[in-house]
This record gives sequence, C-alpha cells and structure tokens, in this order.
Amino acid sequence: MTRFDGLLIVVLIVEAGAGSVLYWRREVPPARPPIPELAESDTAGPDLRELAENCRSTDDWRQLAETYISYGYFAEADSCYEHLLSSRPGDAETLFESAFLLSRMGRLNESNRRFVEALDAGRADPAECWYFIGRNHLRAENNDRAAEAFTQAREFTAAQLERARIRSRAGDAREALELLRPVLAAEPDKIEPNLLAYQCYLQLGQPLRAAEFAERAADVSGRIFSPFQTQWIRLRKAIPRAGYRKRAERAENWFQQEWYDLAEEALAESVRMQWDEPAVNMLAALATRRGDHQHAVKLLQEILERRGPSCRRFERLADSFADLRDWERAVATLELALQTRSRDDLRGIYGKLANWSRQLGREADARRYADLQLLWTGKVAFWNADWAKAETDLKEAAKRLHKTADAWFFLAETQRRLKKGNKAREAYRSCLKLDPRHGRALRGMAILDGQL
Amino acid sequence: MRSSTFNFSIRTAVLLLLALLLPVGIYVRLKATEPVAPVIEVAHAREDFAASEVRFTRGRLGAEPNGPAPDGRVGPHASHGPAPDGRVGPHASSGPAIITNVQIVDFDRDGLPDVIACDARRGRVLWYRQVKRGEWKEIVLNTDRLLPAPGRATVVDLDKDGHNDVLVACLGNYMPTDEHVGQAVWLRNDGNNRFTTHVLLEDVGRVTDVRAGDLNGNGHLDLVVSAFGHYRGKVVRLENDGHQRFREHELFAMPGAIHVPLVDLDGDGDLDITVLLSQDEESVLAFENLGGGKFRPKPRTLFASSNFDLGTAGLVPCDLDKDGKTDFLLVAGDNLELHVNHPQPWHGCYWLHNRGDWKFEVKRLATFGGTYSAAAGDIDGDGDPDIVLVSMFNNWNRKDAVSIVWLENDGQQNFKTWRIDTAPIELATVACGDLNGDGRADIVAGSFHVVPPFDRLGRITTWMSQPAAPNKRR
Repeated sequence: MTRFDGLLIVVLIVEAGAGSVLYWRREVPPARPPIPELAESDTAGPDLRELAENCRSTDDWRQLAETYISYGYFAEADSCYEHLLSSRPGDAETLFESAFLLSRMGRLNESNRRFVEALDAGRADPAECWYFIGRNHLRAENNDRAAEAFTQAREFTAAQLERARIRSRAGDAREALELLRPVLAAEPDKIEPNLLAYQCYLQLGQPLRAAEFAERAADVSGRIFSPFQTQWIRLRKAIPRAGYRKRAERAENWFQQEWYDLAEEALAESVRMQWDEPAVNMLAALATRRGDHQHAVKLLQEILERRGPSCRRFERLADSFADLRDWERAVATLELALQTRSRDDLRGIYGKLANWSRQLGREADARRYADLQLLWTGKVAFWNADWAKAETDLKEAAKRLHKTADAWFFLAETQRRLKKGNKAREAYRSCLKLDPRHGRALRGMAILDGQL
Repeated sequence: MRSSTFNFSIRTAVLLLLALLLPVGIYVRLKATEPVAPVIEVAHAREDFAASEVRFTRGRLGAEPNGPAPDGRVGPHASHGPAPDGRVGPHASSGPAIITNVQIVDFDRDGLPDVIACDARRGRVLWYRQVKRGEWKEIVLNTDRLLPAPGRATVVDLDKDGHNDVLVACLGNYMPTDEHVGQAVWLRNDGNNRFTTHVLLEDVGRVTDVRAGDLNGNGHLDLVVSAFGHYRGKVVRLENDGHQRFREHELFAMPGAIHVPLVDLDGDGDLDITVLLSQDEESVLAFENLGGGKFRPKPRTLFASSNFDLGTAGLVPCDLDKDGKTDFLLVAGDNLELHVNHPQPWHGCYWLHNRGDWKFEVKRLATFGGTYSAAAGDIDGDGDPDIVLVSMFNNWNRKDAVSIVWLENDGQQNFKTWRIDTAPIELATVACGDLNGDGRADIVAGSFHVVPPFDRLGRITTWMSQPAAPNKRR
C-alpha cells in the first residue's frame, strides 16, 4: 500500500464519519399547517398558502387559525389550535379561542370542556368563559346549566338578560321580570330588555303595559353588549388578511391617504380576483374624482346589473348623471330609487329631486318634492326618537301636505310620545278623517284612551 | 514489475473513485431521506347520504346565471333605461342570482303547472308559464314598477274577480337591516294577466311573508303580514273591508317572524294564525281565532327551543301522516351569526306532528347542514308524501358538499335521506310538484348567491324525477 492509498483510506473514513454525523444529527422540521382543499380555487388561496408556509411562531399559528375561521375553513383552524395545544397545553388564550371555535362548529361538550380548561389555566376574564359556556348549554337545550353558567357571568348585562329569558321561556313571567329589573335599570335604551318585558307582560295578560315596552323597543336602537361581539370583531379583523379583500382594504387605506393611483391599481387587482360592490363603488368614486363621469356611470350601472336595484345604487348613479348635468336621467334614476325604497331615509333623494326638478324648470314637481323632503325629515327624526325635531318638521309637513294621512299620523305619534295628549288626539283625528281605516292611528288613539 | 504496477493502479483507482463517490452517495442518501415536516391532519365532518335511487334530470328555467343577456351581450348591461325586451332593471343573466322564492302553481288554470318566482336581484316577480308540456315562457308580472327585494309570493284571487292575483312580501333589502323598508304588495290581475302594483303596507321592517284568508268570517280575504325586520319587527293582520282597503291590527311586536301560514289548527272551522319566529326566540306560535276577527291575545307555543342558534328558516304546513290534521315541516339551517357560515349538527328538518288539542310532537326527520327550505311531494310515486330539502349554508368550501336531498317516506313516516345533487349551491327555496304529468313530483329550486364562494352557480333549477333503475328498486 502506498502512502497515497493510505491517504485515500483516511479521506474515506472521514467522509463516512461526516456522513454519519450529518445523517444522525438531521432535525425534523416543524410541523406544517394544513392547507384547505379548495384554497386553490378560492381567491384567498395563494394568500392562505403563503400564511401557512410562513407559520413559525405561536402567534403565526393563531393568526392563521383566525384567518381560516374567517374564510370558513373551520376544520383546518381546529387542527391549528390542536397543534398549538399539543406543545403548549396550558396556554389560556389558545384554549379560549379553540373553545370558541368548537362552539361555532356545534361541538358543544368539547367546547365547554375547553372553556373550563381555559378557566383552570387562569384566563384573564373568567366571566367571558362562563358566558360562552352558558350559550353552549342554551344550544344544547340545557336551561338549568345555562342559568348556572350565566350566574357566574353576571358581570355582563347580557348574561343577566339570558337568565331572565330562561325564566320567561319557562313560562315564569314574574320571575323573568324580577331578573330583568336591573337590566332595564342599567340599559333602558337597549332593544332586548324592552322586548323581553313586552313578552312577559303579554304572558301576564297586560296588553297596555306590554304595548308600552314594545313601543320603547321600537323607539330605541342600541343593543346590549355581549362578549360575542368581541369575538366577532376579532374574527372580522382577520378577513382582510387574504384574497381580494386584502387588496380592497389596502386600496381603501391608500384612498384615504389620497394616493389615488395606488388605490386604483389595488382596486383593479381586487376586482380582477373577485367582483365586489364596495371595490367597484370606490373605482367609480375615483373616476368621479378624475372627472371621468362617463366611466363612473358605466361602473355604477354594472353594480346595478350585478347586485340589483336599491336606493343607494340608484342614488349614486343619479349623482353621476347630475355630474354630467344630465338632469333628465338624474331625475328618472332617482324616481327608480323611490320605487325600490330599500332604505328609510329618503330626505336626500327628495332634496335632490327638488333641486334637479328646478334645474329642469319643473317648479310644481320641485315644490312637491321639497314638501316630501320635509315629511321625510320628520319621519326620520321620529324613527330616531328625536321628538322635538320630529314635532317641528311634522307640524310644518302636515300643514303643507294636509291631505296626506301619514303626515298627521306621524305628528300624532310624536305628540303622544311628548305626552301632548290633546294635540295628539287632534292629529289622529285629522289622519282618520283622511283615512278612516288607518289602523296605526286607531291603535294610537286606543293607547291614548287606555283601551288597547 | 508490470503486474505490481497494475495492482497498485487498480487499488488506488478504486479508492480514489470511492473517495469521490462517497460524498455524492451521502448527499443523495441524505436528500432522499430528508425528514419532511409533518402536515397537521384535518378531521372533516362528512355527509354520508347515499346517492338517490330515484334518478333526476337537472335542468333550468329562464336564463343561465352569468351567461349572455337576452340580446346576446355579455358583461354588464345598462340597467337604466329600458332593456331590449322593454323591461327596466337588470337582466336575469348579468350577475349571481338572488332567487328568494319559487312555487309551483297552475297560475293561468290551463291544467299545466307553472312556476312563480321572486327575483330579488332584478326586483321582479316572474311567472314561468308552461305553454305546453316542457315549454316555458318567462313573464314579468310587475312591469309597472320595480319591487324592493321581493321575498315571497302568495297566489290568491284577492278581489274575487275570478283571476289569480299575487301578494308579494317585499323585504326592501335582502341583507339584514332594521330600516323601515318592508312592503306588502298586491299585484292585481286585470283579467288579461296584466298586473298593477298596489302597496298595501309600508313603513315597516323587512317583510318576509303575506298570507290571505277570511279571518273574521265576513267573506272577504284578510291578510297576515310578517314584518321580520332585524332586531325589531312585528306581525300584523290587515282586515279587508270588502273593497281591498285594509285596516292594520298589530298582532305581535317581536322581530324575526319568517312565515305566517293560516291553518285551522283546532278544527273549529276558522283559520288560526301560525307564526314561525326566529332570531333570539326560536319558536312556532299560534294565535287562536276566537271568531269574529278576535284572536286570543296570548299566543300558544307549538314549538320552542332555547337554542338561539337553531336557525329556523321555514314552516311548511302539510298533513304528513294523512290523519286530517295539519302538521308542519320546520326547517332549520340559517347560520350567519359570524360572517361565515358553518353547518351545525342541529340543522335539518323537524316534523311538528299535530296530535290535536294544540299539542304538537316534535320529531327530527333529517340532519342536513344549512337547510333553508322544504317541500313535500310524492317523489317516488308510491302514494305517500316525501320531502325535499335544500341547503343554503352547507360547507361550500368542500367540493362534495350536498345542496339538495330528498327524504323517502316508508309510509309510516320513517324517512331515509337520499342525495340528489351537489350543484348548484346556496339554494334558498324549493317547491315540489308534478311538472311533466308523469305522476311523480318534480323539484324546482332557487339560488341565493350573496356570500362566497361564487362558483357552482345556479338560478332556477329543476330536477325532474325519473323512475329508479329496475335493479335498484326496493
């Protein structure tokens, strides 16, 4: 054997040794998140894939799970949470989020077990866990256990409301009203407690008292805060992490910062991925800003084609016709908006109709539309429970539109709420003179007379 | 010497070759056996409905979704100003369909069943007239004006002039809102199938149903209207003075009323009012008619669930066991508490079995994710009523998610669920009836595409039932 052979043997031994070390010291890479089956065809697919491939930290995994939930990939989100919990079984927040997801998947027992685990792990807001445990028991029709859980969550008014509801459903209206008293005291301007009080008084055979609460529920607009809203917002925020919505949100930010070229580019990309009304609306707004009103008209017509007639859609289109100083088409389009009546605030539409009719020299129409604008200003004030403004506007509207039963009716309803019984009665009579079968006016009179 | 030199050379060459090849071999081996990151497993809940033994042929009524417009144009069409066919408003084909209601009825009383449909995207009520067997013509009923998101139609001769009119529940907005945008509308037939729109009720929340019946025994048809609203709503009775002038009576001031069928539930000869209430108080209530237009103020509860998430979506009167008493099919599957839907284990169809004396027994007939509408009909022609269910909110992220099933009645009201189809998806309404006169009920369903995914699109789809293959008959 030559020295050279010896050297080669040493090289071989070193190579084999190095190979063995490399082989045995290889590290198994961390687990990869699942990628949903349909992600390929979903417009959010590439973004979801990217999020999944770049998952490193716990926060990445949790964020991915939230995004999956927001796109309806619940099973994949569940797997993400399971993976996280296999390595960090005592993470209270992950336990909570996983429990919330399980409740949304209808896996109620598993969800409740996990909420309890979150409680045991010392989650910061235990009442929130109890609130959701209560909701799961309601879903499972287990009212007694739901009531117990809501008692633990009583720091939330929403939990107190649920306890009252449970009693009401059980037919115990008196106890329900007892439980409802602190809720109504704390949240008198919220819809739900007033509606529940209405149901209870109906059960107790007290229609006048019931009507009082039904009316209160109709006059207020707020809803009681519940921990569900916090979760809803958390998951809502995950939507713009992928797909066309990601581009649309980016465009909206640029639009607000007045970087219109960038906004337009992002919007065009978003619409290419998925046609979406808000994005096309923004494109129309950009066209209007550029003075390209014809293009704006085209885009707004496209929205009407794809999403159907509505007040807002017709009004935007009419605005573009007005930008083109095409008053005829602007007025005709707004008249279509009135046909659809898909919103209850018609003040702006009547105002524009009055102005544009004037442009066309149609003075009689302009006056009629101005009167109707006034009536609707009063109606909107009424629906917003702004009684003083409603009375002022409706008085004037009733004067101008004295043959319109509704003007008198809304004036009467407003005055009844202002405790102006005699004036209300007078207005109801004016309404009934025009329409003797006006059911709501007859009902209002009956309430005034305490004879419901 | 030559031999020794030769031996030396071979050994050295072999060693040299080994020294060169070993790293390559190690590299290849390492690459080949490189550990792969494990992919986390996903456990999907699967539907295991068997494929239907009764065969169905899928077809459609009217335009193809997202296809060319009637004049051959594709893409956006001018919605303002009259279209080539004289109509104002969007064409059937220019966007994902939003069909809110389909019904099978012989509208022109010519002996051939027709289809009445509400198209919320176009603001139109449509009559698909079966001119002759299998030949259909689309006729727009409300040509005089657009309707705000028509949600349900009721065919009735309201003015008793011998011609069918249509009552339309207009949502005002097919998306949730608490605004006063609902309307109850009467499309009055002039006798020549030309219709004039009359608004009977407005300034109320979104209207989901209008039903007609003589509620006070004076011979005129009164109406019951459910103003579903959103967080606030009500149910009202409209009393007819005989000249189609209506006086409104508030019956119930709760939101979430979906359907208000009028049925004589206690067999006393007058119509009682049934209310399907969803939202926070999932229940079926009945207002007992005491006669003379008086109703028991406290409703009777026929069904109630504390499951606020039950997602009831429809109440269909039918005498399932043919005992002469009206039962109900209760449909549950509405599910948009979050902005994405997911099928729930309690979704499906329930039978509210009328046992008499205001007692109803609840029996679950099928579990089917996102069930939104049901219809009863004799699908297999064996003489007993079967049931068809459609899904609006199944897990459409899965390609194999089922959108329509039928429940075969064994004659004893035991039901087996059969898969019919997986497309189109997002079906919100279904009707059953014998369209082709072969003695078996066929199916018509409408698609409601407002949330993604926007694939597997449909509009008004028909499934004509065919006899089962001979070797498949039980």
